[in-house]
Amino acid sequence: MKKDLMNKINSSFLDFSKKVNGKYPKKFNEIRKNAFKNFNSLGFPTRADEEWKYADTSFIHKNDFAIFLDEEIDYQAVSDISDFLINGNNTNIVVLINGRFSEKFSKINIEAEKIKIGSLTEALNYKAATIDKHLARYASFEKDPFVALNTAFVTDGCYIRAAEGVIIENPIHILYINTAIENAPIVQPRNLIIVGECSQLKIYETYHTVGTKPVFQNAVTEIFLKRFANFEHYKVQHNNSNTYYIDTTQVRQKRASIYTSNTFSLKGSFQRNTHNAYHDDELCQSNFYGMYYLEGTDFADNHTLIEHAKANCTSNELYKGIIDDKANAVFNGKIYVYKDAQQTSAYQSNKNILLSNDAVINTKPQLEIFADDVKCSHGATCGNLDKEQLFYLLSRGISEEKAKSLLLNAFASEIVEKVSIAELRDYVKKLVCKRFETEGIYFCEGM
Amino acid sequence: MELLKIENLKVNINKKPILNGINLTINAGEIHAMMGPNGSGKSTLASVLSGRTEFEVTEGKVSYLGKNLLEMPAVDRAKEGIFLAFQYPVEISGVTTANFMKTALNEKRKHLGLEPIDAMDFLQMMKEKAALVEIKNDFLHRSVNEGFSGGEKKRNEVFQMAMLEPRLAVLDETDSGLDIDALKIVANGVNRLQSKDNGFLVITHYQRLLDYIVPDFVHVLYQGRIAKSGPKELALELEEKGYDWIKKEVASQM
Ligand SMILES: Nc1ncnc2c1ncn2[C@@H]1O[C@H](COP(=O)(O)OP(=O)(O)O)[C@@H](O)[C@H]1O
Ligand SMILES: [Mg+2]
Repeated sequence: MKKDLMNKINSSFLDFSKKVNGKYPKKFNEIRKNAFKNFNSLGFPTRADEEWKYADTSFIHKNDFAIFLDEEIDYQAVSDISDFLINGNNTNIVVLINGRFSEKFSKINIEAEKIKIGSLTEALNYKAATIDKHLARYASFEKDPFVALNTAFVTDGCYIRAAEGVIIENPIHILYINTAIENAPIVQPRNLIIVGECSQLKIYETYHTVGTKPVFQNAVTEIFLKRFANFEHYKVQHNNSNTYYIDTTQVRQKRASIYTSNTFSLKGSFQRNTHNAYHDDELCQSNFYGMYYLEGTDFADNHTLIEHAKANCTSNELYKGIIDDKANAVFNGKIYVYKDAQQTSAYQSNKNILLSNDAVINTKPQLEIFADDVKCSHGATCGNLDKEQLFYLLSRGISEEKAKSLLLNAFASEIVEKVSIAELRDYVKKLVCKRFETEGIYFCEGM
Repeated sequence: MELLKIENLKVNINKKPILNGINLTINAGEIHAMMGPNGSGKSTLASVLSGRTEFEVTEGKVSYLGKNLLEMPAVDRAKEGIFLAFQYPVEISGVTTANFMKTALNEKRKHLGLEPIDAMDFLQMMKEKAALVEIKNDFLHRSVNEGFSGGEKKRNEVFQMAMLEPRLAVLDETDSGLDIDALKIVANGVNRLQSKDNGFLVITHYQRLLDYIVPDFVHVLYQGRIAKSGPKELALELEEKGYDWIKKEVASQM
């Protein structure tokens, strides 16, 4: 089985190379080739690989996945996106169908001087110099097989570049729609986001599938924040049961930039978020938040790495999980403080509630600190709902089911309330409340 | 009218007998004070009445409004009008007192076949009851008891009692740790709620609460038994002579 897929990928790469050689900048085609060489030597990871120890990646070989070229994609399968919108027609939206920028559905209502948003392929040709400075410079295709595979096949995705000194008030929605009607595709979007000096930008990503075949999305996003940039980055993973996501986000931060992410893994067979930030100058701040609420046999794995390479930077991490049934979650939080990164503050916390005896959490902080003047803290908890709190609610006449909802809701709300975009916060609340089967009444806090 | 009748109640915790045959009847309109030294079983009695399950009732009967209380789960007891003000109220991060009370009130209303309370009526009600125990409005929009002082937690218990208007309220040392002003506020809360239809079991360690809440009966619990019962003057006698007097009396009867 395993050989099969590797063979398939190799022959896809030959076909793909024939198509793209000469079409894109030569330099980039060299990177592609190198990346593919690395992918072949790394291969797909197994449990023996430290970074994939608790993740069962056998789905890659168990399904009949294949990489498809542009002309093989059934774009017609997507006829209407209104069901996938969060803020109706007001949205600034980038639609990627099977990883390709959709001219038809994408719609941006922001002046072009403030922000450029479009297809990465297009940018590869017209903005070659800028792209060359950033693309494949931050996400390592030397060590990570999924980044290598994505880099080898870079076709499209979105390119976003906010100008200097602009505050983009309205968020941008990146909507991934994957069609899986006839075949089970490997979809590999590649995004590049650059935020100019002193600019502010907010983006949220959501994911949908059209069709019932399995989907394996291997996405890579590189983010470059210039001095004093402030970027908020949200992901809401809530998908069909046979969807498999490996998402790599690599952030490179310049002086005094702020990166804040909030990742919700709410539904999907396999949701791996490899999420890294690198501080390339002083006074940077990275805030990584996340919540996973899993049931059935769903799986979510948040692998974070914050590289404090320069002095006087701060990182805050808080991930919370509710795990039910036979679901399985991983949190691996690595904080790397370089020798010269004095006065670093790094805080990390991972809290879990297990609702069933078969639910599994593997949580692991990894602190590697080479500077001597740092403030670091980390903590992980896992347990059941607090019995004393539960009894307190029962003793006031609140039914057990409602009492549990209230407590779970309280647990989750700490993360949900960090979402600064009202429509997105409401959307996440609805998804979470639906799970509690109590239709939203518990979030009416602002009475 | 009889609210609560406890007959020969015996209770174990981890096989260890804690209550050794309690007899107590509380009628509507009555305030009973329960006193006694630390460890005598006061909180255990309160917990058993509220429906905690980690206690084992080995003997005896408890009826509430004619129903077998011991068969009712905690949540039903609350809906039927039993309220316990906890000796040590827990903190619940992320749930506001307002939301907590709205949920509790609506659960109770559902049980009584009523529609959920109108949002404006609820706010008005909260405002009135909060004023009764002198709780500031912003407290209601903070997480339940989170970061509250001991006195604030106790006042929050009385506030909840006022919101839920129980038939039978059990207050477990709601006075301990309070200064005299807070004590008056709590006592005032109880006195304002008191009516001919409801009853109170006020557990206290000290006589001083009874300067402000005037009980119809005073009981002294010692070693899991009611060692003495009497009118409100008994509390004064206890204050004067201390619990040693009761201890000696019990010893001489053995
Ligand atoms: N959960 C428990 N486990 C074991 N022993 C307990 C527990 N709760 C109370 N006890 C014991 O029961 C006895 C009565 O305690 P309690 O009812 O709290 O007394 P009071 O409220 O009168 O001070 C004490 O000896 C105490 O140690
Ligand atoms: Mg006690």
